[in-house]
Amino acid sequence: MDEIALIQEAKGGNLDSFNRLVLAYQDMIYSQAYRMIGEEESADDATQTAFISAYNHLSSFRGGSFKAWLLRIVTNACYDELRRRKRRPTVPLEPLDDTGEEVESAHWMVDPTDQPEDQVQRLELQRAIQHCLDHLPDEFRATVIMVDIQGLDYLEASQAIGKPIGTIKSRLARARLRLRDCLNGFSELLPTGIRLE
Amino acid sequence: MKNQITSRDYELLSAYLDNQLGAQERALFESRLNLEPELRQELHEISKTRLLLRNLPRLRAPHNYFINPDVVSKSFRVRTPFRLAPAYGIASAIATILLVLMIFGDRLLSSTSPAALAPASIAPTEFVEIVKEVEISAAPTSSPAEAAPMAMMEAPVPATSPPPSTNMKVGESELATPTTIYLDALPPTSAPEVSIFMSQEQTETATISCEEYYLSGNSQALSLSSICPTLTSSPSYFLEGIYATATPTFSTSETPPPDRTATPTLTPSSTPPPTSAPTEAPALIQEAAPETRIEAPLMPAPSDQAMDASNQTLAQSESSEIPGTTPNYEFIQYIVLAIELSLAAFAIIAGLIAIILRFRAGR
Repeated sequence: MDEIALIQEAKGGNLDSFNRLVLAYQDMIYSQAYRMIGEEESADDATQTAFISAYNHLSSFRGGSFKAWLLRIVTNACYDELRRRKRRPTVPLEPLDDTGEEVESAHWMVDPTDQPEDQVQRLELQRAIQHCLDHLPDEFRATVIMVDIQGLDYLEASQAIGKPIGTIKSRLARARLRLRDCLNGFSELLPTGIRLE
Repeated sequence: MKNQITSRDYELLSAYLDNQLGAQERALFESRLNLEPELRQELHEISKTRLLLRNLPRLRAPHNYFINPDVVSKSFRVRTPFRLAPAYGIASAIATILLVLMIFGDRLLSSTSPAALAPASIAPTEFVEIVKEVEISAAPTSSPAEAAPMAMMEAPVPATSPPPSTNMKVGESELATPTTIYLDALPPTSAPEVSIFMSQEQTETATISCEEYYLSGNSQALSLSSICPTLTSSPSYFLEGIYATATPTFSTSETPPPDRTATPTLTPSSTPPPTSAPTEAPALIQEAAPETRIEAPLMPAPSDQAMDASNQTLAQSESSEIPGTTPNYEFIQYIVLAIELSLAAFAIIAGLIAIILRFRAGR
């Protein structure tokens, strides 16, 4: 069944049709949330909130790109989460032991598999990229994730963010430039073929 | 040389990488790339950054985010009050509109009530008609008990009645007889002023008419027999006598007491007099007084016995009809005031609820 028919059935109250749409887009939505927030649990909450909000406001969807519409909802949920984080102090990642000292090597931080070196390096590179993404302004981050990670074109990104295409171009160029500058600090992690100079 | 690359150049670089430039713009930018190695170097680095991002692995959702009916029902329950915000807003707007209509309607009702129209209906030219009507009702050939109540029940004349014509005859003014009933509706405070004013203006003429009446001894001049004794003894009784013939509050004596006024019986005594009463009525009386003086002696006059009989009949018929037909304007005004207050309270409360709900929904 095509996407439009599923959307129409979901608008009529068919929850199964909407859940089929959820199944089709949940990886993309979760990926967007994780790249935006940089933390799994918050990304999970934002994804759940986005799908519930999408179902409740499905009647406001007037056509166009359903993917862009969902990305806009989850991006707004991520903005809310990021604003909430700025208002509250962050929770330390390292837990405390019985004596009150920080446990530097928590068990969930230890990779259970014995990975080869290139795989570890790839993970390090991903963390470096995520680190650079986290240091971008929220609007720049949302734009560059949608275009360069999610693969949206400029028009879809414009619909998802709710800004004109000119704004998308400007934000994308500045975000890429900042990422380039940030990743220069992790040049040892970059593959030789794409190492920045 | 890197400083020469502007933010506009970076936008062109980024758009060029995404194939978002037009043909002409793309050709122009490629020519620049061939001429500017720094720009080419920047293009290379931005391209690698873009490639790094695109090579990031696609994350998988840790679990399925299926919506179950419990979650949906909870979310709908939470949002239901917020959805009522427009309804409260519309209800507040409707209540406000109704309140405005009620206020204007109340003003209109109070300005068009019979009590309000009464002063305008006592144009001086109509006094001649009043006398004539009383004569007709008191005539032996007619039934006073039927004619007088009919006059009482006639419709009010609007306050904007045309000014009296200068050549009006007694017989020609019969069509305007409905105004006679509004002497009954005169507020107690306005009637004495009008009557006194009229009697002062007409003292001289009335005296002349009575002199003619006394000198002529003509039977046609007997129409003044019920008026002239009052005028000579006290000028203000001239019109008081006329009032007495037209109002249901009669006295059987030929000479009314000095403090007697046209007591309104069809309207409650507490009904406030309209604002136009003291200002309009005297002016009209001043203009129409000469015609009244000239034409009045020509009218046939009823005898004293006929007047008394008609007065008693009118009083009886009026006293038997008033309880059933008298509208309680004061009570209606209380009802209208209560409705207005209720609408105002409802509009304010509904508006506040709508604002609060919208504020909470926005958060």
